[in-house]
Amino acid sequence: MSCFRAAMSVIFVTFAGNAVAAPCGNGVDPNGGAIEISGVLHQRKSWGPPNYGENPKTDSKYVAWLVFVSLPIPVQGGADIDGKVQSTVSKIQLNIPMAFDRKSLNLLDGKMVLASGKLWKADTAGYVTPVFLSVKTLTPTDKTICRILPEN
Amino acid sequence: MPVAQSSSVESSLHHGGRETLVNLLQSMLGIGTAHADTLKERLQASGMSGAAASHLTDAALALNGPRSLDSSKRASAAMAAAVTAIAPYSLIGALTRAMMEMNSSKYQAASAIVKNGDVVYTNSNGSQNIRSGGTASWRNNNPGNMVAGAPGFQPIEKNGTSAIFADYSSGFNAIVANLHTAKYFNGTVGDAIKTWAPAADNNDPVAYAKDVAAWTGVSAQTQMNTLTPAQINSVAHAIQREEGWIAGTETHVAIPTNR
Repeated sequence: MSCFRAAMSVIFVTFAGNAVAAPCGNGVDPNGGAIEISGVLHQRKSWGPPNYGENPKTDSKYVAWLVFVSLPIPVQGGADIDGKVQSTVSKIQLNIPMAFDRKSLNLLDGKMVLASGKLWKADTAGYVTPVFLSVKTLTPTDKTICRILPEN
Repeated sequence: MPVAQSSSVESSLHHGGRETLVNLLQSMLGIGTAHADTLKERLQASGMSGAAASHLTDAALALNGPRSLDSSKRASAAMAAAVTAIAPYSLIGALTRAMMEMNSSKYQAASAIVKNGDVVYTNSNGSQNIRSGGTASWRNNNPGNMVAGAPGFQPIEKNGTSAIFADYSSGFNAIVANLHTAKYFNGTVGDAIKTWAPAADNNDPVAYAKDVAAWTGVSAQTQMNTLTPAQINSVAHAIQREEGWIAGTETHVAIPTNR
């Protein structure tokens, strides 16, 4: 447990000036809108280049980190899920910065987490969700949260 | 040179010397002398000096003419002059880009449809090019595997969710344009490539950082907004490499004629 706490302290980064936050009810801008969400973190093996599953014998696989969010995230303009535009998303892929410690990340697998960062529309083939979060902070939590953060 | 071999060429050029360069050119620069006339212009457009471009063009002409000891010597001498005229890194980027462009389809398609997995391009003169096999990025002229609907560029069609571009240059330029958007431009080179291709780091940031430096010539920690246009191009090439650009079979169907 002490190891887990130590790991959390490594990856915990606080937002400067994180004073005012709005709930996600009005929708999150998928062009860099800053948000904070909670959910369960899981890693999933996903198809990678060159053909993303078209040729299973030759295509690569990689570990994608997904958060199955506690509250559906409303996305401004909707999100394309399997060819249909949906107003909310229930899972979101994380884009983990290089600086994050991977051992600490692995300790969070299967746990409730609080993730903050910027929401982006996925515009390349490598993503398994229509929007992804460029992670700024990732910490364990027991709260249920979806809120829009002020731009920083 | 088949476009499919560009990554291995670039990799070999990184690790090989002048002899490797000459051998690779000899075996892979499959251009005819008519096309070689445009090589100098393309190399210069890629940022190479006039002197270096002239030497490389001389080498290409020698290598593509009748084979003899004399032509080999002339090619070797021209290549040596080119290598000493420019930095190796610049040579690699410019040469690879020029060869890829010359060996991409010579046509800019006006429209495209997807048929049984093949991509059928219809050119402005009515002729068609049918691409089958290879990787999706090659079939779609989409070296960045961008989805249709991403901002800032104009695909001519979509294949599933992927964009289809009129030609290789349009697809490559779309990568460069997209790299200038906030999603990629406000971070480091390492994070930009990983954001584009999330499989790129394979959850091993240390090894990934070394790869990024080898692919781009700059540190993974370098800020994107400090890069020169040539360095941005090298990041785009790294993305193309990561996505996998492997040529399949391209069949040209000429315009039907009435006799």
